[in-house]
Amino acid sequence: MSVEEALEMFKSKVSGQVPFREKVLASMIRRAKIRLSYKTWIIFDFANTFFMVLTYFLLAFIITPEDISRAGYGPSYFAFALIGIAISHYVTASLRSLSMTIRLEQFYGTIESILSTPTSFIVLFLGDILYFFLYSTIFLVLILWLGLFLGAPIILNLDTALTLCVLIVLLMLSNLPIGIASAAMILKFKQGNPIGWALTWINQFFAGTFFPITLLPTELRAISFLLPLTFSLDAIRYSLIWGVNLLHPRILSDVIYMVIYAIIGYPIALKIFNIVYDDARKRGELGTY
Amino acid sequence: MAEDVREALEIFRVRETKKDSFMARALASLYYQLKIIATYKMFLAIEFIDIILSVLIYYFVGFLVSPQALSSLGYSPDYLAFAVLGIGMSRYLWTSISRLAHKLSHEISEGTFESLVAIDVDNFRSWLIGQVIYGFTWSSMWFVGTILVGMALGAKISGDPILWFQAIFILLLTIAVHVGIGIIAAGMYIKHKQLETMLVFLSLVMEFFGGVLYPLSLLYNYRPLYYIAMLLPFTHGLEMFRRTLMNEWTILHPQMLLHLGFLLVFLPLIYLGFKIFERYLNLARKEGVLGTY
Repeated sequence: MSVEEALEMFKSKVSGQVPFREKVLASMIRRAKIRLSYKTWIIFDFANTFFMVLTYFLLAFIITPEDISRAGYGPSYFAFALIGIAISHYVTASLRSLSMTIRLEQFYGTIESILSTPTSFIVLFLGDILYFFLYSTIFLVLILWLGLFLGAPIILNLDTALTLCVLIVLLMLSNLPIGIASAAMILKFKQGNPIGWALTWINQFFAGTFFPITLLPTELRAISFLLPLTFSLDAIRYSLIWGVNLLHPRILSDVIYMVIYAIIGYPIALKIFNIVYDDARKRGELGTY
Repeated sequence: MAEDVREALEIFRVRETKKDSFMARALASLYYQLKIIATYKMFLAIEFIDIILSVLIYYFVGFLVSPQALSSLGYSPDYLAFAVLGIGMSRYLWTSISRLAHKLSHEISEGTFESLVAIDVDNFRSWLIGQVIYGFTWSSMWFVGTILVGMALGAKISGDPILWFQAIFILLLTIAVHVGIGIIAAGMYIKHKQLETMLVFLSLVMEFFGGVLYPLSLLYNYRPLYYIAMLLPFTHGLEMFRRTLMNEWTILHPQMLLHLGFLLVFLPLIYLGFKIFERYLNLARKEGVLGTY
């Protein structure tokens, strides 16, 4: 699809000329074209992840597996950390992609032009999320492959692969409300990356990306249970380390928690976003940053 | 604010008639950079959270690390101290190697680089020095914060002032060597552009091979990787730094002298850096590509 074609789709009236899914697709391609033009960033992202996997591979040699085993994740710290790294891009995507979209549109001065077209902002959001989902999937596949190559004891078969797919969709769905609220904060406080980064770090720390949350003091562990990522990580780790599917009680309970987070989270996050969005429109501050 | 900017510009404009004008210009370069960063208050607050969280992560990972394994590799058994010293020092890596080229790319893309060239009187030396001092100041804030949080969490780092003096000497020497690489890269950036990818990659490679989070001896099982690590100056700087503050080795320890020798081999890079920067700057001036990106 050429740039002109994509623009044409955005320009056309909502009169049934362009189906919704084509608009989402156009939005996704647009984001992919922009992001893929930043080659430095892509190379940095890949190289950083590659060296991160190698670092934790080496670190695992001096780690005693007792605490990992006690938390229910088997005897390998490398497998534990590898899964945390492998899904970190999905976490970033669900927490930061919307705020990044708003920030970039503000920065390039295009946010008001886009909002003046009949195309809803939701279409843009969905397109962006779809792009980040695909980008994160490439990372997941590469990291798991690298992990297997380095001897990580994870079980990948049709059963666990299908479970992984479902759990990742749930991970994105349950974490997205936090991303929507974060996007509202961008509109409100006009601060870009810092909020998104802080959210990602706080989530990764309390959800136990690099260590089991059983090591956290009880008071801090309470914060972990407020984050949907804790349950997503637990379910994905448990499935890949023990080779069990969605029907396993531990995974099933994690799934229920993620669904509850999504059900409660969306109305609240959308309400917050709409209030801030309408307020910014009334004040004429959508494009300021 | 406007008055401050005028003052800074005045310092840049002044001819080299006074003995201290070079340093004054370097300080102006540092000052305007500090002014820019001070306006990003939220960013500074988040950096503070980042320091605390990154130390906390390794505080908890430290519970998983076997002290015997760390001891058997020749370090004191405290992984938190090991990680904190590594993370703290690694911050200098990016600011030393990649930051100058990154800053130049900003100046060029924002269209301010030619204005800087127009008021330049010393082939950018004072500007470069100011930016290097800024990078050092910024990384030092991170470094001190990391060490303080680490010590508050119980990291066993030596408190001997003489050893700290030695550690700071090692730190400065390591930074100086890497700044040399950074200045060469910045010079090449003016002419060739698109070097950031390579620099970012170089910083990552150095950080990985330097053993920021794992003991270097673990690479010994993968000999080619170990030899690559030994060829990089950061590896030697970090090893000396850790041995000083964790094992309380003095500079006269045979292994420390060996690492020091390796590091000193790279020292001429600073002189070479300024020469190469000057060469590329003149080339870019002649070809009229200073403002292009």
